[in-house]
Amino acid sequence: MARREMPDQLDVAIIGAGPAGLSAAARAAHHKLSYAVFEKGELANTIYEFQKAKLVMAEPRKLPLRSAIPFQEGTREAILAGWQAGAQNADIKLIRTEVRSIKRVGDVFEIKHGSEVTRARHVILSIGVQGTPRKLGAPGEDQPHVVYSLSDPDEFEGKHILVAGAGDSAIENALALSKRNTVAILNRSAEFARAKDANVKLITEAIASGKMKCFASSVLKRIDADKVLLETPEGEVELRCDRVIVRAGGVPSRKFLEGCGIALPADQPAALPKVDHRYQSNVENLFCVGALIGYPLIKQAMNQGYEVIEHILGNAVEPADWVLIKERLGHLPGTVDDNYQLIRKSLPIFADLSEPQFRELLIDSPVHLKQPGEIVFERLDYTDTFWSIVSGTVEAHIGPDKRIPMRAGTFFGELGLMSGRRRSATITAGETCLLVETPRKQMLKLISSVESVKRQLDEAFILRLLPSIFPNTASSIFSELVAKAKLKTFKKGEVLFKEGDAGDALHVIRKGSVKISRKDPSGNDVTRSYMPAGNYLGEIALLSDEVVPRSATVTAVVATETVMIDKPSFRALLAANPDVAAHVQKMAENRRLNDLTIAHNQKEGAVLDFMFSQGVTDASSLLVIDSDLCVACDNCETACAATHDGISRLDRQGGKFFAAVQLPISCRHCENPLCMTDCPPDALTRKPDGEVIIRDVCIGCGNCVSNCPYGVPKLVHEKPTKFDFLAWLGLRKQPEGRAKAAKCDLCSTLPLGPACVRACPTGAAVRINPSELGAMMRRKGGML
Amino acid sequence: MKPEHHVVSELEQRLDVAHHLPSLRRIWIGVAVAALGVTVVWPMSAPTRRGGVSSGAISNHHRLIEAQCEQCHAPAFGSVPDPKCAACHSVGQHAVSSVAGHQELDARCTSCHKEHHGEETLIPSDSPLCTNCHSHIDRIAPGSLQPGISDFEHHPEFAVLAWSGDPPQLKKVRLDDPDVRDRTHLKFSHDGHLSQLAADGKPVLACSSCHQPTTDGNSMQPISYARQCERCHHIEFDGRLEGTFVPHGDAAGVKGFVTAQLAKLHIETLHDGDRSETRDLVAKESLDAEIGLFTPGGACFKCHDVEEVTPASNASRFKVLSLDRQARLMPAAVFRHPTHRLVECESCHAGVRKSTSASDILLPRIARCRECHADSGTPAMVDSPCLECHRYHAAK
Amino acid sequence: MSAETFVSQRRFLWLWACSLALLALGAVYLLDHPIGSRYGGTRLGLIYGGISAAGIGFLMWYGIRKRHSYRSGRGTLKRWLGPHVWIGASLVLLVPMHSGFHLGWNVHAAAYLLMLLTVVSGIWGAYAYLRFPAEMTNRREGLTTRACVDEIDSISRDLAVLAKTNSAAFAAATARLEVEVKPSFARIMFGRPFHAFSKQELSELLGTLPKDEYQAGLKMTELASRRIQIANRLIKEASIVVHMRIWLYFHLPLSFGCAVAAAAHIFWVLFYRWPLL
Repeated sequence: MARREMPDQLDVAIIGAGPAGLSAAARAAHHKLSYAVFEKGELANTIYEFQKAKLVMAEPRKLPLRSAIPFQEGTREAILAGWQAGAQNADIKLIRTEVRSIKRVGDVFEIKHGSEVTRARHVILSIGVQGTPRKLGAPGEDQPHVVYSLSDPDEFEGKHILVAGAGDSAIENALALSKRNTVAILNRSAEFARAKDANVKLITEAIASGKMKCFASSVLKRIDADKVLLETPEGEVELRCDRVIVRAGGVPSRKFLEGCGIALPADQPAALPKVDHRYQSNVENLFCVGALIGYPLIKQAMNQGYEVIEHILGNAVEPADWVLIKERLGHLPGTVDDNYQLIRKSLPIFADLSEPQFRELLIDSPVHLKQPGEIVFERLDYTDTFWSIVSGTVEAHIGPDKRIPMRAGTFFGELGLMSGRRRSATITAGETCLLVETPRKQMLKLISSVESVKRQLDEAFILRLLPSIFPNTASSIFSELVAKAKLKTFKKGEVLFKEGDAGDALHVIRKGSVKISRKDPSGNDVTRSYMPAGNYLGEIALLSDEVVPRSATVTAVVATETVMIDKPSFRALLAANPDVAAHVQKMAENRRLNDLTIAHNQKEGAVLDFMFSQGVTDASSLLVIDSDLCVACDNCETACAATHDGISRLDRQGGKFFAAVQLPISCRHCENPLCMTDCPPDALTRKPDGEVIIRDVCIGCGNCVSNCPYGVPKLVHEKPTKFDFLAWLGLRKQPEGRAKAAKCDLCSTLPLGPACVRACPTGAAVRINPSELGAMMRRKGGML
Repeated sequence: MKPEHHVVSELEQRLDVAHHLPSLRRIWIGVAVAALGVTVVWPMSAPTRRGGVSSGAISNHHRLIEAQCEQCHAPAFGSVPDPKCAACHSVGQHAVSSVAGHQELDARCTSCHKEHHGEETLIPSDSPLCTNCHSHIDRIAPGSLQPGISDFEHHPEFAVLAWSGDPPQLKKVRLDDPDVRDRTHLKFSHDGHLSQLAADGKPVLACSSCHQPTTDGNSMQPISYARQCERCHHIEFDGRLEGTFVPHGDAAGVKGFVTAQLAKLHIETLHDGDRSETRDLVAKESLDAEIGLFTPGGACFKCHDVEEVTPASNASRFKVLSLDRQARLMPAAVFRHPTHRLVECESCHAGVRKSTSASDILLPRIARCRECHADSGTPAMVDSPCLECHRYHAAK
Repeated sequence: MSAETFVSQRRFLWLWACSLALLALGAVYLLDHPIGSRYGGTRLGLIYGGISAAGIGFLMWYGIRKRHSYRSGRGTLKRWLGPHVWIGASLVLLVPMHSGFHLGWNVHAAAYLLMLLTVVSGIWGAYAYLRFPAEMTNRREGLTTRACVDEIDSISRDLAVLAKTNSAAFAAATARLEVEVKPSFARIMFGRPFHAFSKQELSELLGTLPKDEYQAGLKMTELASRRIQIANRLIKEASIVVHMRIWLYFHLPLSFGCAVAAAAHIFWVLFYRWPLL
């Protein structure tokens, strides 16, 4: 873009030439406003820094795009080319410079950049969050071989490279580079806490197998032309180094924002600016859009760029997503506006959401008007949505004759969020009620980004859980307990308490599962059984005032969250209510819990351990191959492929072995499916019978592939639907269909059940519920 | 994230033995096609190659046509129709049973004559051939007079076509019926004949003196006066005419013969006296002679039953009754004497020395046969299925 | 052995059923007295022939069920295999009863001979299926084939790195020890292991290296030996898998040969038609 002569005062100054900035610029141009876009890096710098050929998605799918600049899902290169062309067509005025400060002087803003000052009446900050890449602060970091991004890992071969950082980008870069180069990764802290689980697993494996070196708890002391000096816990280390890639993340410069006058809460270092429905911050005429205010998706940013210009002009513009809101609320009596306002006002749990956030939530949440007596969901259903009551009441069926009413403003169904388990009670409408049903994924996102949502859910969880464990207790006692109860998280493998420890607390498992082990006569710790979420343990030690040592060691099998109630509080509870004491005593005496597998000796314990490490506790349906019967004929795979478009969802040769049991790579249909954690189009879903399936809307992004710890989903090419005659003749290769994720679906579409099981000639392959494992092991008797 | 196919490394592939061998599918398809060629196409191509597909060995006499299946077999699944057998075998009566009741059966040649299994099924002789029906014949042919016979051990007493009852009737009678006899207008005493002793005290006659076997040797020739009786028994009618015997066989002509002979006797005196006297004398003497022959004491009467009739004109007053003997007492059975040549006649025909009447039926009873003959498989006995004695087709 | 194998499933139900059936059919056979001799064309012979043909049809249908009825098909494949095995064995006795124990040098006896060979190969297969899985399990020590192959690859990569970073002599020594792991048919059939290097060979080789590369050399020999070890374990495992596979190369072709010959037998015996002549 040529540098144009600038008018003395701009109508609009747009800081940042990302998708939001470009979109705003195009709209400003359309309205013939005087504007300029200030960009210190490349056009759409964040996307520019993406890895080569990365697939960029156009989420949310349903959201229409309002912008003169084109955008659709594609590779990084295609999108950038589209934007370049779009910018050229719209003749966007782009100024390559770094803005140092924006100060309000009177009713204009003075924008200092380089040695110049530009004045503008309105300023739009669309600077994203990459901002300034964090520097290391080490001497020598200005050299050309110190870079802050990696576009093409294959560019380098046979080099010595140091990657500084411990986030996802650092890990991805390091792994990609280590294929052909000697790589070392520098981590300021001891662990890779911020990265995705899948990435952590990969890097840990790579380090363990020697593919790359890792310097943890270390800092970079000096960078020379061909080597670096590191300060590690073991002392100074000099490392040969051709290139340093710094991926230490970036934050929008808080200093910069506060310098603009934007108010940010002091106790939240990573807080983002708050804006109203016109995208105006607390500073008049200073607007923020896009990733800066928590909308990392490109499409939303582009829409916001468009809308903010309209707001500046004072035009009433319906947000782009309003058409979707209308769709959502159209079927209700009354106007869409009224209903929207009603819902907005009635739900305290969403009170802290900004307007755009709330709208985004509502777009994805069906709104129901239920008549008295209508069933909302039934006990043991596999649905996992979150329900909020806007008006009216519902009734929760706790016992055969016991119903608990729930008023407007509260919520229910939250247990499905936590543990992914089946519904624990039937809910019906009491009076005519208006209910909002929010998908689990949206709720999980909110829990991690809006603090008040998490807090309210946690409190509600504890308050609601306790009566079900300790029935017939006055609610006043529970409120005391709630105050004293703590939520504790345990990583996989972490011990809750050891055998012999003084018992001092009761644990209610909120999420995840634990294994229980005891020492056998020779002192070996033998796994005896496991317990899933929804159960409590550790109560035996609390039944008497004396100090009682723990009778077993309890370890978290997967990431687990518990509500911990300390002994004094629990004793008070028991003292206040003798019924509860008797109940707990009885429970302790005959512990019969769901999904309990009991091992009797060390061998069985070892098998159980193996099973737990393979996520058996989380599985709802497990494909187990009895390797004493398996003849390696692969008919199970052939059957799977034959019933699934020629691509087997089962990998018999993969998977793990233990004793005479093999767990081939095949979906476990987990209670808490990790593959579902980040599925943008929400293609992964659970059917009413519990099977986890991938719907057709899959876009092939591969998140589920990385997230599944068992390597189950695979990306496979769809078979082309059109018949290509020339390809059939063999004259040309038919281009393959797009890649999509595929995994076992328990043959839910077939009337007779899993084809793999039915095709096994010796009956070695069986699909069992983990609770049947114990029986199966015992049947095999001493052959373990 | 790049899509992956179920990529298997080369080493993994090579570890599977199937990788080194030709495709199993091709192998079995090849074998199936080869088998089809060998078992169907190749034999189809020429008649001489069909030996391997025949369902069993052809019997010796048919070997000459064993490559020409169409000589016997007609369209599919239809077995062999009768005309195909008749084309070479002039069956005539052979095809029809000589036994009453079997003509109605819808039996084809191949119902009993089965090829492709050697001689034993081509001309079967097992008892089941008969007993499959005859053991419960009342269910198969209701109203049949036959009793159910399942084997030789339970075979009823032999029956003969003879006379029984009062008034006597010709019918099938069991030998154990006390009344059974052969009606014959012959006077003959076996005992009388067999007890004739010569001067040296030895018997003059033995069984074979009169009973001669037929040309096939199976049965005995009918007794005739000329062959057996004339040797000893001459028909003299007048003491004066010794050596002049009445020719046997023509009872009606006796009177004429006698008259002629007597006339010859008196021919010399014919010139001396009155011719009419001589005629009257001859007439009277011939009448006397005739009466003498045909009345007790006479030669004819000695062996034949004679009846007085009212003659017409000059015919004889006497009628010799027809003998009316049954040619075969057991027409449907076959007995072969030569195979029994080591057995004494009288050991089976036991009543012969006590028999004084020609009506006696001197055939052995079944018990006598059972002394040597029994059902197939009985140890130390002669195998005797039904067809040993009975014949389906016209008996020889 | 686990509770139920395909042979013993349902407490040997099919063994009992077939034995009883054979006894009953045998009794009827002995009590039957056809006219003439016993052979396939008597009434009982035709009935038994029909039963045998139905039996062969059922046995062949197993192949269809196995490979073409993944979506439907009544019952699991294991439940099909039980009757397949026992009915197959029973036919060995039933067919002679059909033919009256006649044999000759013809297509009919050829069908029976092929059936016998098929049953024998089937017994071989059943034995392999019952005996060898446990052996595979015992040898496996918890490692999958894939894991072993991956480890071989990984060791090869490590060896490559070592070779590159050291002298040419080292590289040559590495090349000598890095035997090509490309198993041939014979090696898998007979389970012949790759040559594992003896201590003497290794120390000789180490002697040829420059002194400062001794440590690296030790590591290299260790890696190379481990590689061969893993390869040999793979070979051993593969040679057991051979048992599971090789019998089928007989059983399938023989069974099709038998089926075709049996069909031809029925054709020749019942349909006398030469449309071509």
